[in-house]
This record gives sequence, C-alpha cells and structure tokens, in this order.
Amino acid sequence: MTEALHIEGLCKQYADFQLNRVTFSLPMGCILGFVGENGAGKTTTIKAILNLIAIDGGSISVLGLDHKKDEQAIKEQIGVVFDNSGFHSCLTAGDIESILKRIYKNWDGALYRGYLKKFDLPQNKQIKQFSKGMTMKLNIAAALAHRPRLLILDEATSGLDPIVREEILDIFLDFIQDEAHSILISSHITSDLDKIADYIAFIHKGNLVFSRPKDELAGKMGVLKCSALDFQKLRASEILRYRKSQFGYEALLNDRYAFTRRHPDAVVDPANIEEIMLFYIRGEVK
Amino acid sequence: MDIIISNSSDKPIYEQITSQMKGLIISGALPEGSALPSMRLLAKELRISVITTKRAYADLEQEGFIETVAGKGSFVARKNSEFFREETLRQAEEYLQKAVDLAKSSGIPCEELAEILSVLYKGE
Amino acid sequence: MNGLVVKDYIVLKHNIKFYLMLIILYAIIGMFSNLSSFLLGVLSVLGISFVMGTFGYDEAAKWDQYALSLAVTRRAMVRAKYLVALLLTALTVVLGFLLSFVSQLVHGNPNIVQLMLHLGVFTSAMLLMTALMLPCIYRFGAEKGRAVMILCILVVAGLEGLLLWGLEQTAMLRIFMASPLLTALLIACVLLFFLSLSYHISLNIYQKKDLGSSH
Repeated sequence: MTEALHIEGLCKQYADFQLNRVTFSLPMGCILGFVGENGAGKTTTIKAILNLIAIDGGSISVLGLDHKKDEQAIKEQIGVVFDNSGFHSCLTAGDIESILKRIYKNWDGALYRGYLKKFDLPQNKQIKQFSKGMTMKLNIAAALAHRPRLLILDEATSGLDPIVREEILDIFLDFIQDEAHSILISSHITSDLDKIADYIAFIHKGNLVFSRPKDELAGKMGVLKCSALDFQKLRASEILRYRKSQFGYEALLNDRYAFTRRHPDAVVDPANIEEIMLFYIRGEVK
Repeated sequence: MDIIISNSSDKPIYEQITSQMKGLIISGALPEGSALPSMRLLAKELRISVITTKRAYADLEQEGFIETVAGKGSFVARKNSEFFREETLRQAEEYLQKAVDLAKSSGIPCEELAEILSVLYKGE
Repeated sequence: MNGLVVKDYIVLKHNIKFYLMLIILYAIIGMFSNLSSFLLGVLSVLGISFVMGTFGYDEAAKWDQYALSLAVTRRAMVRAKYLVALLLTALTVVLGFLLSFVSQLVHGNPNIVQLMLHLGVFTSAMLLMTALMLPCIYRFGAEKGRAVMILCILVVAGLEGLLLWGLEQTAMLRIFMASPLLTALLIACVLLFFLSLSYHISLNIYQKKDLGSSH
C-alpha cells in the first residue's frame, strides 16, 4: 500500500450544496493540504472519510481499507482533530486520558503525558480555562497518543496566533519524520500549507479544481505582470489563467523558470498557493 | 552544514539543494563517507516538501555524488577520480562555452581565442 | 463503550453541584412532610434530567461527531447512553429508598410494603420515560428533547393513572394484589420489552444519522 488515503468520485447531495465526484489521493509519508473557501466542501469531505455522513456515490479507502466496511480498524489507526468539536469544556487533560485509554486498544499513557509536558499543558485544569492554542494542542496530544498512522485535521490551525501555529506545524513535521505516517490537513489559511504541505488539493464549490504536488504549484508556477501589448503576444499555452486590471495584466504561468528563460526581461514573481487559488477562482482562460 | 534556500531564486529549490551539496562535497566540507541528513529531516528544517528533497537526493545519487543505503540513509560517495575528472571537465566546458559565446558575439576568430587559452594555461 | 460511560460519569461529576443542591432541598422538604411519594417523584424527575443533561452537554461540545472519529461505533454510543440511563435510574432508586426509609424512621411509622410499592411505581415510570425519551432525543436532538421530556412525564403520569383506574374498575387490582410477585414479574417483562424496542429504534435512527448540521 502506497496511499494513505484514496478518494474516488465522491458525491454527496445536500439541499443547498453538493460534492461533485471529488477525486484525490494522499501518498503515504506525505502531507496533503486540503484548501478551499469556507463552505467549499472540505469538512463535508472529511466527514465522509470518517463515515460521519452517508455518501451518495464514490469510494473512499483509508490506509488501504474500505472506509465503511473496515471503519473500526481504520479508526484505531487514525487521529482526528476538529476545529469546533471535541471534548466537553468541563473536562481536564487527566479526564481525557481516563476516557481515551478505555477507547483505544493501543493507548500510550506515557506518550500522552509526554506530549502534555512538551506542550506545557496542565493535567488538572478544565479545558474552559485553556486558551484556543492550548485547546488545540491538547486535541493534538489526544489524537497522537494511540500512535496513529494517519492524522486528519480539520481547520486545526485557524484562529491561532502565528507563534502557536508555528509550534503546531513543528509537531506535524515531527510526526511525519516516520515515513509510514501521513497527514491530511484542511485549512483556508494557505500560508501554513505553503510551509509544510507536499501536495495541495483545491476544492471549490464542491468540485475538485486540482490535486498536485506543491512543487508543481508554488515551486514552479509564477505570476507574470505585463502590459496589454505584451499580453497579446503571449501564446495561450504559456499561461494558465489571467486577470486584467486597469494598469495591465497579471497571468499565472505554469513554469516560471521556463518562461523567464524564453523571456529574460519579463517581470515574474513566484506564486504562492493563495494567489494560485485566486487565479483559478477569479481568473480567465486565454 | 549550511544550505540556504531562496523562494525567489531563478533556480528551482531542488536545484539549489543539489548545487550547494555538490559544492560542499567538491570542496571537501562534506568528506567522503559522511552521513547526510535524512530527506525528511532536511525537508522539516528547510520547511520544504519531502518530494523536493527526494528529488534532490535522487539527482545527487544519479550523478554519483552520494550513495543511498536502504534503511541506513544517504552518504557522500567514495571519491572516484574518474568521476571527479569528468565533473571538473564538464564545469570547465561550461565556462569555455561562455567565453566562446562572448568571442563569437564580437567576431573574434577561433584561432585568436585558442591562442589566449594556451597562453593562459601555460600561466603567463 | 466503557470509555463513553466513564465520560458521562466524569462530565456529571463536574456538574453535580447544581443537582446536589436540588436533591438536598427536596430531601429536606420530603423528610419534613413525610411524603415518600412526593420525594420519589422529585427524585425520579431529577434522575431523568440527569440523563437529559448528558445529552445536552454532548451537544454543546459537538461530542458525537468527535466521538465517532475515535475508535467508537455508533452502536457503542447508543448502548452506552442506555446503560447510563439505567445506572442513573438504579442510583435514583437506591437514593430514594434510603431517603424515604430514613424519613419514615424519623416520623416513627416505617411501612416497608408501602415504600416498596411506591418505589416500584416510580422505577417503572422512570424506565418507561427513558424508553420514550431516548428515541425522541436521537431523532430531534436534546434541545427539542426537553419539550418531549415534559410531554413524556405527562403522558406516563396520565397512563399510570388511567391504568390504575382501569384496574380498580375491573377488579383486576385485587387479583394483582393477591399475587404481587407475579405482577412485579409481569411489569418487569413489559418494561424490558419497551426498553429493548426503544433501544432498537434509537440505534436504527442513529445508524442512519448524518453528523454535524452544516456542510
């Protein structure tokens, strides 16, 4: 098995929204950033992976197992962190251990308490007295302590200050040092994913726009800024999307290195994931 | 071991890694047989994708600079004089190509250029 | 499933102060007034509120969505809730017995037979209410479930009154009184049937439920 997660043709119908044949996969040993606006379908997809909602079509395999038939075997091997769902605010870190050690077969109490110590979290304080960053770290500690092979994180870094975000990204990068481990992380804050993701899957209004290695996106794409005259000279195959402003054109290039070799004088900046997303949502095809 | 990555460089990141590592190996800063950081550690510390470091190491291995032993990691390859000669020759050729391009653009004939080369080589 | 029961236990423990105050208050009133039926009635309503409370706390934390991402099946979730409801009923019954007995002793007229009868009536009322309520909560959520609870209390009280009246009319009561053991067994069987039916309905609802309201 070389894929930690494989989603094929996933469909889910709601009254006002639908997931439309979403297909992507997460190779083992990698971090996949799942990006899109709020309401684009990220959480719905994650709920479908976890079999929290019934799907209307398609197939999902997690760690090589069927997400429905082998649900229990899968859940012993994954750790999940939600942004807005978790333990009751009256519980303490110690309470959580009392609960989870009875739920997971391979719960590792020493590992859990090690994480609490590392993240500077008190054992006997109620969660309601925690800051948002502390709560998130506690949820991550709880998700890691049964030694999962796949972490699934839904908006786990949003609403946190930059320093805590950085700490949390470090935790994820430590986790991924084992090449049998993988991470699916959804976020609408793409700068986090610029830093740690190996693959980016981009969903928009329930449709998957692309799923590609980050190196082919931020590492290779570029933003060309040029005049209307220069823009007219460009071949359609050279640019992916463009936007016209009052003072010229901006175009998304598939390969900024190749482009600057051909046009050494062109003004080309590297494109980050956010810019690429915006070009795909708002830009036009030449 | 220092490796400096720039996102706004005109070279892709994997190329920045390979060229800097080659430099470290040729200069002897990374002696033969010494262990390289794991691809995952390098990716973590440089905040780049593990796919990038994999590609850089694969390129270095293909060019004979490093050897990867499954389960143990990557090491600087034993110095192979033949290989180093080739690499140096390739670099020399690159510089000469630049000289030739420059000469051609000003209409300097090949003979004159060859003369300069032989004078330079003899250390005048 | 053990973890889930422990979870409800810990959550209730953290929130017990409020309930404890109520219990003490009513226990004092009950003892002074020497009305064991009043005391038992209050206790059984409190017991049911405990069960409701665990659903309310779960909903506030969006617990179910999280719990099902752990190594927990939907069946275990439903089973644990029924177990918690039964445990709380048992606790209420024991507490009710002790308080009433002490109260009777204080007033100097212990009447174990009457007490057991009252206890039996309120226990069966609680179990019947549990059986009615839980599927409603699984179907409509804890918030609307609260309204359903009040309705349940009225319905169960009304049913029991009707039943007693009916029994008196048909002289059945005398037959029942003649063999109380058989009657108790019969009632236990009926309750067991309702509880197991209720569990299967709840499970069926919960198995098909999509978790998390929004996409």
